Amino acid sequence: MKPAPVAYRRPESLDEALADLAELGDRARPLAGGQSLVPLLALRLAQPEVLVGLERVAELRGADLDGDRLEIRAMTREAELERSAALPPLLGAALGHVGHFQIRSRGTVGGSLAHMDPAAEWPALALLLDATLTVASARRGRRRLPAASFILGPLTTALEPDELLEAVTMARPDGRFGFAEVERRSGDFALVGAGCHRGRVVVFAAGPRPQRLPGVEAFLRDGGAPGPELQRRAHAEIEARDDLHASAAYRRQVGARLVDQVVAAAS
Amino acid sequence: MARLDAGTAARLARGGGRYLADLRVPGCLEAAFVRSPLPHARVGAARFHDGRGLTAADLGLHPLVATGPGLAGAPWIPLGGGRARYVGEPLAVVWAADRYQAEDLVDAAQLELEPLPPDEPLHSQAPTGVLFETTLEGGDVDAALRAADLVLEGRFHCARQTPFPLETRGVLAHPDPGTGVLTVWTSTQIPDLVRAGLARCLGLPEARLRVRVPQVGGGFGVKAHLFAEEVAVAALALRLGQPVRWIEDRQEHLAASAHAHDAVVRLRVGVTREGRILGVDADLTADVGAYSIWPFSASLEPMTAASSLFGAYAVGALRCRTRARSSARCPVGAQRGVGVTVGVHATERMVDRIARRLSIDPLELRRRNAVPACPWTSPIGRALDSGDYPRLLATLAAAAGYDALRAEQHRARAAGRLLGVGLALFNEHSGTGTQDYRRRGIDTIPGWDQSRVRVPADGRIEVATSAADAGQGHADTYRLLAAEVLGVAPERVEVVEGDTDRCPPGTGTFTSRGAVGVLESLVQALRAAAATDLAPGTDIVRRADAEQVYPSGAHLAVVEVDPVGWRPRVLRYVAVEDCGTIIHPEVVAGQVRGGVAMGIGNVLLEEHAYDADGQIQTATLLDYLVPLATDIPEVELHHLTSPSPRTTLGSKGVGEAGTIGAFGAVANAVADAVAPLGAELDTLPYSPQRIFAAVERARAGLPPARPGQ
Repeated sequence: MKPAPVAYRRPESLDEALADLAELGDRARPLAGGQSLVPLLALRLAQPEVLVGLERVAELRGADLDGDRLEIRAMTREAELERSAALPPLLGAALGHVGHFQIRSRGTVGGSLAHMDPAAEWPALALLLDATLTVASARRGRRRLPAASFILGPLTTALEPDELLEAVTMARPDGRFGFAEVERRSGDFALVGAGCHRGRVVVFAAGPRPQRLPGVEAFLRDGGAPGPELQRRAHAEIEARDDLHASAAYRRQVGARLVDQVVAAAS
Repeated sequence: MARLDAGTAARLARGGGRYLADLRVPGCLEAAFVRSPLPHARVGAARFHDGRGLTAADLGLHPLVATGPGLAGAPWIPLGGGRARYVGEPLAVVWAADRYQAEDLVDAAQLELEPLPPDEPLHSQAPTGVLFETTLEGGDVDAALRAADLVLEGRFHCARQTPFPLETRGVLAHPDPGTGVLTVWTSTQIPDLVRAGLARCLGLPEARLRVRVPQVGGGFGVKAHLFAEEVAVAALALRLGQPVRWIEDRQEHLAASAHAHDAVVRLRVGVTREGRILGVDADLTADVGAYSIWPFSASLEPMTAASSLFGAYAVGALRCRTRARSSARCPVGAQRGVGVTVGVHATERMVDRIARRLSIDPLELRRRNAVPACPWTSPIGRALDSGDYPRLLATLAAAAGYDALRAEQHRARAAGRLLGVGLALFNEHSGTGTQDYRRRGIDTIPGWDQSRVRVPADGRIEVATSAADAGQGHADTYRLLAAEVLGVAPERVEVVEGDTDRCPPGTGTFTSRGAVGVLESLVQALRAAAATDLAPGTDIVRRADAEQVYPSGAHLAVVEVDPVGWRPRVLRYVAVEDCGTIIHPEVVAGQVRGGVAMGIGNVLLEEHAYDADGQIQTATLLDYLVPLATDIPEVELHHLTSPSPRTTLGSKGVGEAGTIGAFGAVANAVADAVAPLGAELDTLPYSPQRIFAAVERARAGLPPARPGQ
């Protein structure tokens, strides 16, 4: 479990980082907090020629949590957000499920979004809160993508090899919400999770990517309430996969029950 | 006895331990292993970058064979000997200046592998794959089942698991060209057996080998085997004339150290309407993986499991047909409690099932069937030396507030909560001696233990034993005992273990030998020394060949299952232990707490899985789940003391009890929690997925699931 030889660059600015990626393309991997990439390197499942460490890129640090629109820059560590008094309760509730405090001390918001583990909280939050992701490259400048276009599948996003995720922005999530997940041990990736806020309903860790449940949302718009009918609709709508820890059938059943819970909590 | 200085534990907790990876030897090379990507293959030509790689044939390694009644005589073959028999099996060793470069060489190595069909036997000695087979029988089982009012059946499966010490395996071999002696530092529980095995694999006299054990960060059974990596690193160091080391990483540990369990127990139990168990007819198959592991052999898991069935109960007749089957998977070896955990899981789940069927309280059913008084000899010849099973149950019921707990459970169920209470009554055999091993047909393990008390010229008192501390705290325990028996200050006593040059040979550290045979030899040596004036030059060696003794216990767990996500949590744990005379209360308490934690992980979380192509699915900690601090409640610990008449001090050992009890108590508590839903649990671990599936099957009116479904 030792990485293969790899070169390491440590750009001092966003322009320098983007220039590195433009030069190296898919021979390079940006390194954010390292909580997913470093284990993959150690297992030699990822063998980039060059790591571009983003540690010193000041433009990628910090979050603005005070206004009506939140901006979290990509290299903001989860623990920094947790310590902020302005953090909306919904984000706080979700962050409590992200690994252990050691992981949150290193892990970054942008790293989690760009890695796109289907069971991770940040992609689910981005979808739930209709976040906008700002993506930059040296050649094409900036583009802004809604979360639904950014998230493509397991470990797959709309990011091109020469692009960096710069920031994620979203309207401040106020008011009632629900966020719940089932994990085998505290801090594990969820077996299945769900969130509800302002009529939007998202299930994650069940299928290949976090999933909005438009049928359930429509049911709620039409005056539907938590209960067996809502669970039945959620059950029918959830895309679920089998893995070592749980079957698709488990994920549909428990996911539907969590949807019921989070809808109840949010209404 | 004086209190243990808290300094040792604090030093270890702060990272002050000095383990194998902390040894500094100038010029030491780092080895890494080319491992099989296929479950079964013939190994052809090998090419290595810069010629830095050697196979079993290059190194001329000899296989070892454990023989004995019931064993097929299939060999254990270091580096496979031209054949790969499981994914992760080491097939060749490479070396470099550091581990990073060594792993680059592993990537660059080219091994021709010709896949062999899955049905091709792994060993020609065992064409049907049965590596061991026997039947234990005592009493007239058929008559007992005929006389029963009711015969209940059950099938229970223990998952494939890994002992998982915090410190992985490791070995450093250091040749001395001057003396021709190869010093092999290794993180092991069995230094003398490692030396014996190494000598045979390498074709060297034992006198050319010195095995030394540094501080060990946990063994739990997995370090009580000889491993291919130890043999290969020793051979490589001899070949290169240079020191070489290998430190196992966690992926290697999970995929290719030694696994445990993976056993299926089928039971038919005859009972009367009043709940008296008359007879047990059992059939037990253990999947022991690719090899008959050395030195314990393929009989270890099935024999231990079979002989522990219904061990704490006064059953008149018992039969168990048992066998070990090979598979192209990591070999199965010892894990804390070995097969006793398998036997106790099946027994205790079955006892609860009988109680439910007869509408008798599980505690009451255990009272009616517990061994009434000791000594007691079971139908299969287990001679319980000591213990008071009715009192264990009474003490547990009082300590846990059993009646109040059941009342609380009643209220919780009425409120829709899934709250379960689980019991376990059990014993285990420990300190296994020469006669016990010969009776079981195992000739690779001596069974006796030794201690030596020596007074060098400087007046220190050196106490050396044939054990090897794996973190249990032998040094503190034995130092305090020596000081007490000899009437000297503890500071004057030095405890030496894990060095084949300085310690008298023996069997090592497992099955609680440190509190039985090793301790017995130490007490004898200390008493003989105390009768002298301890003058410099005093040198006394005593050997003990222990008879098996039977620690016992009764445990209770309270588990709540989340009715939404089916996750079980242990809310409370009460343990009543009878390990005989307690030598060191804090060491005993630590063993029980740690044992229970391990058992909770074994029952709720831990499971190795292989896919249909024989690939291991659980080689990282993302997929092999061990318990975390948040999964373990405070263990409420109570003691009964029935001293063993078979040891001078009356101690019986307590290294495995916590784990064994949890296999009954936690499993029964989870099952009890979901019993109102009609769910039947019989396959470990009792994960959210398995609980969900059992509940769904009950809803659909189907019989319990079988593994694989």
